[in-house]
Amino acid sequence: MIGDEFPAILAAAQVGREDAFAALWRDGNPALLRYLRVAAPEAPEDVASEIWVQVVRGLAGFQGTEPDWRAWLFTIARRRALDERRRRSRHPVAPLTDLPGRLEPRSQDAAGQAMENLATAAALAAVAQLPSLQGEVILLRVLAGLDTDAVARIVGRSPGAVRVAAHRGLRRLAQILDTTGVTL
Amino acid sequence: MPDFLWTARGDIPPAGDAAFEALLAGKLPPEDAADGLRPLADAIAALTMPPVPSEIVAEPGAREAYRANFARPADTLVLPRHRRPALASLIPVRLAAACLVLLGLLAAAAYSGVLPAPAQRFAHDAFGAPAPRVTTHSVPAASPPGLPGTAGKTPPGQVKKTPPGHRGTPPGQAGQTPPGQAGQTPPGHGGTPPGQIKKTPPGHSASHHKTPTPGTG
Repeated sequence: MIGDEFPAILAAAQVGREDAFAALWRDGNPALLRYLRVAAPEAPEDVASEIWVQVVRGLAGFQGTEPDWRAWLFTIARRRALDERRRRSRHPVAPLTDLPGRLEPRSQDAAGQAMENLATAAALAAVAQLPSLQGEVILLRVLAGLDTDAVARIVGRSPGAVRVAAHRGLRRLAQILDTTGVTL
Repeated sequence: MPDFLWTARGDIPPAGDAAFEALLAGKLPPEDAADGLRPLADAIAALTMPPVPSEIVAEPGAREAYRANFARPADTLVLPRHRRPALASLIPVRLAAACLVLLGLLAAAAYSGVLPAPAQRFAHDAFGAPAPRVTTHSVPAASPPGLPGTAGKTPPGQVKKTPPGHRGTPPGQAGQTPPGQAGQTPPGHGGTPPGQIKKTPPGHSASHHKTPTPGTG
């Protein structure tokens, strides 16, 4: 969260201040990527790039508070994730494990990144086991910092349904963590 | 709202909706969570850990997209981006509209016959507007017939008539009226004898061409 400085940063980004946009991006992209690792696990980085292109296009016309901004960001993210899922279902791709070893993409410091990301990755993996609505609602509430009403608008459900889904998801998540013995 | 108690297993203490709401709102850190909620609180906290390098490595690409699609120097931001093409595209439209209005006015003036003679003649040749009105200028009475520059001129009190629809005789035909010599008759063609009026075929009234001459009423 950016906090009290958000209106000034947003206004600066809207008139072409690249540093202000970078502040918005650094605040939003990690949460966006974590959401996409569950919502569009095949290509979260690619989908995130497309989301930011769309954000840039609409940035000048955006008006609202920081919660409004995050709601807008994750509304775009959800739509893009759904598009990606549809696209993948129409054009299935071969998993990377089927490729020869020399063709597999390798990160320059994959081990280091894995260590940094271990706890977050384990938590995301546990959330990914939830029914889609429950997992999505939990991620939008926790990652995006949105309240129940905002999440309800994004997922197109009633606030009551969102609240029930979130609580059921947390109960199920506790069971998963207990069953798998994941220590975070 | 009722606070339903929940327990997943017998060895996990019950948790209520209030605790879940606090977890979801990030207001229940793991150290404050009850033992049974500790794994859940750890998982929620892990979701909101500070970004790792892999999550912000794409910043240059995002900046590039911002520069390419949005950013310009602040002092050049006069209008929002989407308005500039609209204004620019209006300029030729406005010019075309102004030209159309001007042409319309000129055409109306030409068909009304109020243009200057050269312009009216051009309009007549170009798109069939009425030819310029031919008026008979009074000639000084002292100019005797046959003198250079006065040969064939219609004497005072006489009017050379032109059939309607032929206000300007077509070029190359006998009786052509050069510019500035309205009513003149070429030498050797006799012109109209003094005291006579050139006959006009029936239905070819040319009364509007008469120009009163001093002394003849």
